[in-house]
Amino acid sequence: MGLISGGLDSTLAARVLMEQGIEVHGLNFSTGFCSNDQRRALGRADEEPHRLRNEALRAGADLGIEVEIVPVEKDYFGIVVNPKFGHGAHMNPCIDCRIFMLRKAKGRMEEVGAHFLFTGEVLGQRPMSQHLAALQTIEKEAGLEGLLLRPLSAHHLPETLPERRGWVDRARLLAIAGRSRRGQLALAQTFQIAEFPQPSGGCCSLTDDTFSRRLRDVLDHQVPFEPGTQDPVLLKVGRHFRVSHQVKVVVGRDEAENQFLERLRGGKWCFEVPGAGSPLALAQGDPDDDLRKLIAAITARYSSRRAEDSVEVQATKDDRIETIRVAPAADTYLEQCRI
Amino acid sequence: MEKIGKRKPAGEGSLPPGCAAVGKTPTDPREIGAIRADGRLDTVGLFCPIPIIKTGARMRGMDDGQVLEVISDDRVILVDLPNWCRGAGHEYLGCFEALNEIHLFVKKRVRKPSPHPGK
Repeated sequence: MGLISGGLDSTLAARVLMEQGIEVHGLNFSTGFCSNDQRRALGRADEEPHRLRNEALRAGADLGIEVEIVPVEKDYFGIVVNPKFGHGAHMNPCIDCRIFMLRKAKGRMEEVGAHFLFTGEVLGQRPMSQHLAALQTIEKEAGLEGLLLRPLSAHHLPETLPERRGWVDRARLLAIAGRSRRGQLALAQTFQIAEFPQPSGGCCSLTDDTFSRRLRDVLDHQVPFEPGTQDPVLLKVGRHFRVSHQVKVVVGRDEAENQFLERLRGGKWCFEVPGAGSPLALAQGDPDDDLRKLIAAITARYSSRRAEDSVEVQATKDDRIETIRVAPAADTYLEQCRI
Repeated sequence: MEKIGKRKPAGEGSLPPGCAAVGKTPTDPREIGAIRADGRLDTVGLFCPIPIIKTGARMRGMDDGQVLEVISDDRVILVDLPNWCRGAGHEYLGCFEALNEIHLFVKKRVRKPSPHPGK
């Protein structure tokens, strides 16, 4: 049983084992922070479905193996908020993430009666989670010492139980290491694997600077946030502004984002400029009169009437309607409160 | 979870791009719509991978040869469900679209695991 992301490394790891006649079952965990899943939830009509496909399922189809997708959003959020081994450059808890997934995989392995786990990890490839000490820590914390096979880097790592038991022929495993992709690309050519996403780690929103800042803002201001819902998607949508400790504004940038925000408007103040090209601005929190004027000014700034001295903005919340006339907000103010 | 969605009778839908039944020429949506399903899973309002997760769970409780109809409004399912079927060894029969909902049909196959790589 192996972790299959759909990326080249996990695909190659599976294929290396399948070449030895080993039956492989794939696992993929839905954490709620997959960029592709979030783009999909935005529901843009112009996005080609092929570009938003699930790469793990595509890899499973190409390999001829089942990839079981397991939802883990709620549990996973705990390690995003408070990772034992800390965050990377942004909100990415890479080491804790790996441990989390392997613990879950170990449980599933035992349930289905699989003999061992494998991953596509390559020694020295990723700075946070794939140097030797990290790989060893991950294995130990996941309760998998000696049981976790990394086929692509096996010759750089101690022999594992599956190799000692003869389930896997070590001589046919590989010695790939480092950040160069040459070894993997050559192997892909040998196996005639032509289709795979570009390797970058950019598929996880937690490695994204803007997303991470917005998530940190949510946590710092105790904004209600439920993983596995539209909440993570909202952090990818629009322009975000914190106008007070209790109130944040999300301003749609185009029709698709406006439609997404429209679906969330129940019970919230929403702002738009009637009769003009206008974003939909959604307030999280309960803005008082002064803050509603401020939010109206922000809304006007991003409307087609931004050059006018005074703009009429409509604010609505359920059946309440207000008309607020304001000057569009200044860019200097926006830069101060932008998240 | 099942709910009865609004649905045109079979024959009044259309085949969106990518909806072709495997091995069949997509000329007549009534051919797809005439498939008799043994179960129906409504995933409207949910985005992939949730429909796939629910499909997998539902299929585990079905018998070999039974057909599940999956209803979705997420167009990416047109790519993801056939891929999932190929990997899991089930047979993707095709789909039709009606009233902005896509109806996809999957037949459960119990596939013996293959030790050799292949497509």
